[in-house]
Parts: sequence; structure tokens; C-alpha cells
Amino acid sequence: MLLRSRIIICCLFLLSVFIPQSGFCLTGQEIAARMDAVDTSSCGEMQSIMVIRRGSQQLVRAMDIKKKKFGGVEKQLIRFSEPLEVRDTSYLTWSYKDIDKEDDMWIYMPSESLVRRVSGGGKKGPFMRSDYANEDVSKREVADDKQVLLREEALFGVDCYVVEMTPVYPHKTNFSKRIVWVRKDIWLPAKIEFVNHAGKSYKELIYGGYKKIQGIWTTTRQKMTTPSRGTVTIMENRNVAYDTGLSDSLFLQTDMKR
Amino acid sequence: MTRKILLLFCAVVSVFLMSGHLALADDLNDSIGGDPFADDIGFTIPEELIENSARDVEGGVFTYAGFVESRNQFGINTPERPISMRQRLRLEADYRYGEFSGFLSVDGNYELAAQYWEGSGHEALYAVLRSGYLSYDSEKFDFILGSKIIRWGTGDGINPMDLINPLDVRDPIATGRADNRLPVWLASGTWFIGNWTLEGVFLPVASVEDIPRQGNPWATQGLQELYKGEDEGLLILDSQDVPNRWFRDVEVGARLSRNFDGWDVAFIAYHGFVNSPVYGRYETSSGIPEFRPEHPRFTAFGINFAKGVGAGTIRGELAYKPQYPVAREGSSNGIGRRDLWQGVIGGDYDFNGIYYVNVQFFTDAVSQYFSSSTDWFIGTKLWHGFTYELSRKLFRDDLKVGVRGKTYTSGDGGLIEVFGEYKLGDDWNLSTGVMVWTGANNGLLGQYDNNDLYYVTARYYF
Repeated sequence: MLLRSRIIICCLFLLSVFIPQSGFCLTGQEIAARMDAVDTSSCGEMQSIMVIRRGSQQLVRAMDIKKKKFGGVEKQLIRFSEPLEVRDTSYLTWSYKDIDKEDDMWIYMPSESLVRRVSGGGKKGPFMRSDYANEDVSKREVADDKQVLLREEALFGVDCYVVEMTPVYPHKTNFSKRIVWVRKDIWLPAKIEFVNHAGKSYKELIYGGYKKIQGIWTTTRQKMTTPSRGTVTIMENRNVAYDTGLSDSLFLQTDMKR
Repeated sequence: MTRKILLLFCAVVSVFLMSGHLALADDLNDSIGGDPFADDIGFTIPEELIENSARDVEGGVFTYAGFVESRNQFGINTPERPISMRQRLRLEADYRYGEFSGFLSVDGNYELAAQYWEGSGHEALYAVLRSGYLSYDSEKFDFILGSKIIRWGTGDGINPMDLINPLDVRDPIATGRADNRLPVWLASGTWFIGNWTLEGVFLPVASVEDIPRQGNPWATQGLQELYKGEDEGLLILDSQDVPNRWFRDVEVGARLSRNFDGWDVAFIAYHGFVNSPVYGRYETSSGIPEFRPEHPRFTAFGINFAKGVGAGTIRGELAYKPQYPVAREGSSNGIGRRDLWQGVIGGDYDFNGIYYVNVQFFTDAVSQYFSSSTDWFIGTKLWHGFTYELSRKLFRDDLKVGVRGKTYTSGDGGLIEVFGEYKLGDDWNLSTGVMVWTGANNGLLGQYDNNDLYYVTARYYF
């Protein structure tokens, strides 16, 4: 009888250790935190190619992206090489973990050799005339949303959590909520459905091109579709590298130059 | 019985571990199932779409680009005389080799309207070296040597401490609230010291504004009077006294900046020659007065700041230019030195990336302008006004329409521009608009009221 009790206690203990890791009983916030923890690097860089398909028109964007995490802030530098109109134009963003603190953003315009602070209102605008908004390509903190686990279902043959993410400050974003399909195996998104403030599904982002790079699972391909406009933007991240030793001064607005 | 329970438990745990529910990334390969784009179906970016001009050359990377542009400005009041029909070819190339790089940007211009301008000597075909410099870029220190435009300031279009590059008097108006500048020869160093950045600029020879030739639409009212007086034999307009001695007529500037908890703050000091000429008046033995465009030395100190606030930004600048050379009736040669204070305060607001509003207020104050009192505020002359822009983006940013301009509330006139800019694909930019100057003929902006114009511009990138 005593042995049986010990075995049951052992089982309960082991289950208590394994079940949370396996994902059972997770809350929406815990799932978001798992997603946020996937990228364990301190910095990274990549080249992104974006193709925007609008009817018969195809627009191409090419950019170098560098990121680095500092205490309480993640800094991102995007430098465009295409289209030629904005060649060597750079955007620098400091995204703070404290959601009550405004992000800092600057743009460098090479034709004027001028660095100019830009306002956060532009975050809702389209990113380089694509299906992405500027807010879609910047870091979104876990604390920016309230998360609710809706259900579990398979997508593209993979088990996923379906999490509803509602912004804490709805006026700061284009969307009343985002429905995110999170892969259970690697904690990366498989799909995001963007719901506008009218409560209608507005656009859809599909992720793919999953690769483990330097031990970090990374999505390298994305496809954003806006059905109401009949437009599609595909984006591919190439030459992704982590922990490349980027210097702090790269992320100073005073170092933005051609 | 106990052994059976243990075996059952082990089996359950083993199945659990193998089922793939555990997020142990190290157990997985570098590719994974459930990838909708793994086989490129529905996801292809043709390489030929990417017009990457980058080429590996001698271990470095060489890139090139350029555009052709037709910019045409037609006078509303003078339909027989176009203000400008400038055709431009710009070529740019850069070469990067590790921490070193070189950049070259050259404009070839053909001004078709020059033949219609009054007076003589207007160049129709001319080239401008916009940039030509070498740079060294390291973690703690950057260095630039060559010809370049460097603009300092946080304001939009009005920057009292933006003193490095002179105005392009041949084509001074960029937009209703921005001007065009010319590159200068310089050496520039930037040091990153913790959270601070210190920049130093050295111009081995000063670079100042030329005076527009007679008949140029952008000659000031005062200069036109001088040209007219010279034609009538009432005065002599001497050649411009340009500070052009290398390593003697130098200019230097420094800027110390950092971000204080969301505030961009910069402290600036500059010593050089005034870019816009002041006209000295001298008596001659013949009794005919002689006027000479001069560029006296001056020193300036300033501070500027910018801060993001929600969907908006606030910006401000303050400059103090002690004993700045100004035109004064009472002085012996028409030039006096008085303290000049300049301030700009304003901000912008972006409504969801669609509407954009920008308003800035500015003032210039010259102390003791009307008085010889030692109290600086006695007899102060004030200029003041505001700049503005209200615009809207349409069709996913393909089209931008709006109104922008600058108005003096001190009676020096104003400039208003209604504009439209359209991006056709990635290669074409088209723009059109109307610019109208208002105010009295002797006002800083009102003097150009005969230059009211509409413009059509097409630019193709290659």
C-alpha cells in the first residue's frame, strides 16, 4: 500500500514536470511568452526581399535588417537597397519592453544627409506600399496584448494553439485583435489573421520556410494577403545570422549614414 | 503488480517523449514538416526581379544607380518666360571595402529656360559634384573626407544652426518650406563616447552663396535694384568678396548630442563666414558709391531637440549668433554687427499613416537694431512666422496630395504650395503643383511674387 502511494506520488511529480513543457494547460499569455523566448540571440542580421503583387504590377523591396537587444529595449536598423528611389535610406527603431513608453524612430535620408525623428503615428501606415503595415515589421512585446487561448487545431498538418491577441491600447494599432496559430513543436507562428476595428478579418499572414539557424528556429518566408484589395506581398529573409557581434554604435541615430 | 505499474508508467512517458509534443529544438532537424512554402509552391521570388546593382570588385562591393529627371516650372505671371526647364541626369556609385568606402554623385544639368532669362551669361549646361568623398567607419570613430552635404537640425525646413552648406541660389526652392543646398569640401569626424556622440566638421576653405546673375528669377529685390542702378550709372556693383583662401578662410563646427530618455538633444557651435552676402557701401573718388557683396566672419551657438509624443513629434531649435553682421543704415559702410537670436518650435502629427500635419513657429530677433543702447533688448527688430504642411496619402501611399508653405506674420510675405506626388511602380515619380508668393515687394518672400509658378516633374530611376 505504501509502495503504491509512493509510485502515485512519483507519477504526479513527473507529470507535473512534463505537462507544462508539453503545452497542456498553458494560458494564452504563457504561449506568447514561449514564442517570445524562441529567439535567444543577443543580436542578428539578415537580408529581406519583398515582392508586392498588385494586379499586373510587381513592386520589389530589398533591405538589410540588423537587430540587437539591450536592457529593456530592442533596436532595429533597416537599410533599403531597393527600390532605387529610397536606396540607402535607413530606419532606426528603438522598441521598449515597457509598453507605456513611446518607441523612438528615426529616418536617414541620404539625398539630404539628414537624420530626422519620425512620429509613431506612421506605424499604422503601409510599409513601403506593401500589404504589411509599419507596425507589422516592428517588434511586438508580449505585454502589448492580452492573450486568450481559443482552441487547439492542426494547420498544414501540424498541431497548433490558436491564440486571440487583443491589444492593450487598441488606438495604437490598426487591428482590434489578431488570431495567431502557434506551432506546438517550435513555438513559431504558422498563421496570423488580422481583424480590423470593424470586427472583420482584413488580412492574413502565412509563415513558412522554417529553418534552425545556429540552434534557433527561424521563419524565413512569409506571405501576406489582403483579399479586399486583391494584393499579396511575399517576403523572404536570406542570410540570417545570429550573434554576429554587432556594435552598439550601429544603433545610434547619430551613426545613421550612407 | 508494482512492476507492471512501473512498466506502464515508463511506456507512457516514452510515448509522450516521442510524440513530438516536447519543444526540445535540439531533437529536431534543420528542416521541419508543416511548412507551406518548403517546396516553393506558392512562394517564389524570381531572381531577375531583384535589380541588385551590387558587384564584387577586388574584394569589396561596388554599386551604382541614378535617375533622369525633367523638372519644368512655368511662370503664372510671365507665361512667355519659363522660370526653369531643368533636365537632369544623376549618376551615383559607391565602393565599400571593409571599414572603408567611397561615394560619388554627379549631376549633369541642362537648363532650357536659360535662353529666356533676361541678362547674359546664364549657363544652360552645367555639372554639379553633389558628393565625392571617402569614409572610414569603425565602432568608435567615423571619418569622412571630400565633398558632401551635411545638414544639422531637428526642425523641418528652418534650421538656424544648419550652417555648413550654402544655398543653391540657381535653384533655391525645393518645396514650399524647404530649400536646396550645395555640397562643400570638408573633413568630418564622429566619435561615439558612451551614450554621447561628438561630431567635428572642418572646411579647409569657406563655401558661400554666389550672387544670382542679373535676370535670374531668384535674384533678390535689393540685388535687382543694384543691377539696375549699375546699368544707369548711379552706382558700382563690385565683384563678390569671396573667402576663398584654402586653409586660411576655414570654417569649423562641432555638435555634441545624445538621447536623454526619448529626447534627442544636440549642442552645436560653429565659426565661419555668413553664407548669404551683406552689401558694404563705400565712397569712391568719382563720387559714385560702390557696393560690394561681402561674407564677414561670425560665430554661432545653438541647441536643438526633438521628442516623439504618441503619434506626433515635437521639435525645437535655439541659436545665438553674437555680433552677427547685418545690414544697417546707420553704420559707415552699411554693415553693422548685432546679436542675433533665432528660435523654432513646432511639431507634427501623423493620423494613422494617412493624414499628416506639421506646424512650426519661428522668430529671428536682432537686438539694438534700431538703437545704439547697450541694453540688448532695446530697439530689437523681429521677424516671425510659421511653416506648415497638411497632406494626405492615398492608394496605399502611391499618391500624396497636400498644401505646405511658409508665412511671415511680421509682414514679409508668404509662400504657399499645393502639390501632388505620384509613384508609378518602382521606377517613376511624377509630381505637379502650384507655388504662389504673397506680400509686399520688399518682404523676404513677397519680393518673389512675380515668380508664381506651376510645375510638372517626372523622374525615372535606373
